[in-house]
Amino acid sequence: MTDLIVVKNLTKVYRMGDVEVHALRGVSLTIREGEMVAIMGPSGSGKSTLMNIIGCLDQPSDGAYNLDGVSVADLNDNQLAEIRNQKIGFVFQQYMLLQRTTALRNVELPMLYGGKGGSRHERAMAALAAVGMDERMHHKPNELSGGQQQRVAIARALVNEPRIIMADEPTGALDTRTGEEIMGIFQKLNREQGITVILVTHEHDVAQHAERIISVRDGIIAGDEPVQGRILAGATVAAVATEAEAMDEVAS
Amino acid sequence: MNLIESFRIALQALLSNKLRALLTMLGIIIGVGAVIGMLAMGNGFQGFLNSQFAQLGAGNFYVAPFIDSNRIDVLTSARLMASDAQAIMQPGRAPAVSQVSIEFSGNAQVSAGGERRTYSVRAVNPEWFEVTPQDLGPGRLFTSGENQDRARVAVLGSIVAERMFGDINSAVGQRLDLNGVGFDVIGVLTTPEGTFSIGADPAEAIFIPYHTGVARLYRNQVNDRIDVSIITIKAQSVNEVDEAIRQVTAVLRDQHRLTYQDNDFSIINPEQIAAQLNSVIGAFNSFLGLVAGISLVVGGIGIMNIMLVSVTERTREIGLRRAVGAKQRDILLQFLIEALVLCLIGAAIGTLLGYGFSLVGTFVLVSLFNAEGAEATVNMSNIMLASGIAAIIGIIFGFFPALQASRLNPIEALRTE
Repeated sequence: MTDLIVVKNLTKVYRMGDVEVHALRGVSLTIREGEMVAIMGPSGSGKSTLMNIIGCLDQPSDGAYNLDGVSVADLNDNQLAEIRNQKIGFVFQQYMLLQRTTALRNVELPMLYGGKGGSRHERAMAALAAVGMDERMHHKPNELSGGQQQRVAIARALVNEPRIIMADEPTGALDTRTGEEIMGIFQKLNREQGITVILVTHEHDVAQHAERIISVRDGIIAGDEPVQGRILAGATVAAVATEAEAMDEVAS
Repeated sequence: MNLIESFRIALQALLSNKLRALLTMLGIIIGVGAVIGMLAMGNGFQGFLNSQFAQLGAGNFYVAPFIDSNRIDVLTSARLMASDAQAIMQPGRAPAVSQVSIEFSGNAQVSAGGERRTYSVRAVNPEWFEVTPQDLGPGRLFTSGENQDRARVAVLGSIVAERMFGDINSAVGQRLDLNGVGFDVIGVLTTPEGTFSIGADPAEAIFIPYHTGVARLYRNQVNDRIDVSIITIKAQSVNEVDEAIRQVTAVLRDQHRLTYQDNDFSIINPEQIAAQLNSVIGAFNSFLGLVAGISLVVGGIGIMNIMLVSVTERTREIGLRRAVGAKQRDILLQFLIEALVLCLIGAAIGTLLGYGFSLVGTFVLVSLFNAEGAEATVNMSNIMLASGIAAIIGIIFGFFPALQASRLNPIEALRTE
């Protein structure tokens, strides 16, 4: 497997008034294509900063970041937006769906800013099918449960066929059972479609669904180990397996 | 992101908060409505004036025994004679003139069957009815022969006929006295009341042959300098009015044996007056439009205000859009188009309001300014003007909020609660 994300000596310094905050103090790591990685750490550890930089929402103060062979540090704002659009799918703790807008329209959103051709409508429907939400595509967020909203958010992340899905506390607002279902979807996407999944979490149970846990503390990497006794969200994975094939068909 | 998509998103955003959108648009609605209404009223007034001048007859101009009041010249006092009119009509002297009519008018005591009133009595030659055509009701006009013979015949305006004899049909054949001289009524005009005329309103005047009037009614008022109060001249065509005026001036100066002196008569060219009036009214209209336009600017400030609120409220949405690949330009365009759509919808509603104002304007023109038949008209170019200004205001006042939206840091925007 090729190296998808290569980070070397990454530092990030914020200025808050007169105080310099060193959020990252030299982080190096490599994530290979098709991996499922959890980035863990308490709040203030720098994990969010690291996620923002890896997700091309932010630029490092110093150091190198290579994403899929492209040196991100040299890119301008428009080029970063294009990478986010084409290569990265974001899933947030608070779902971040547009209210008063149907699930379908929400999923179509990334395609407004650049897509991969084909009918937007069909691609959005296929993405919704892949997360088992195709029957509720005309529902608005306030008509959906939290788990359903997060599935729509995952469909939105999937719709431009990204190389990476970045999920920031994706189960943080969900109960355990629903959280399991969501984790099952990530595992399935990772296993069946080879999408690289990066989970950002401070919950150990969530991180245990990944293959590898990178711990961040005080702006440096405190640990980077394979997961022992990985949790497989088996039952819920099976439930959405059939829809995934529909997605594959459209994609091919 | 394409433009149609942007407009759809903008519409959706506005529809999601209809009341606020409407209140925001109010300034633009009123502004556009006021601009269109004001301009419509101006158009209506201008149209009314032009139609009034058209009633005077195309290609007509007038010579009157006035001296330019701005000059004091002891050697000249005004002079205008029926013989001047004859001179103008002599072959070869004023070829650009097609017809000349003369008139001497004043007031007279009118009595018939116990009814006693004062009316304007206009002594005209028969050509007057050709140069300034009137509507003839019952009866007939007088002839050149009757004019030469100083026949005591009268043609009444419809109001005179109604007041003196009850109705216009029973007037013909009756007798009436003008300053004690008996006249036969031979015809009644049905020219509508208020028709624009140099001289008394034809509906409220009595017309008698010129020579009759000068000999029997106005004998003490005419003298060897003035025996016509106005000469109405019709040029060969509308385009030859200026040429005709030059020729008539030359003939009259020759007749009056003027060399170095100023004219002892005045020439009135309605078209020139109309043009001057039009330009004054036009300037006044523009001024009114400008004043109304100020409310458009106020409306623009309202739009900016609400767009700034909207950007703050939708910070998370902006962050999300940035995260899924929206460029700064996309966000800028989204909010700019939203402001533009607000203004355009406002302009559309404002146009309807402007139509409403124009109806009120018509009412005001007709009832307050007595401009019978005037109509405040909304024309396409005014709508385009008002909508164009509204759109420009949308872009100008929408730009700052849109720029702010586009410059939001996506990370901080996503973190906003």
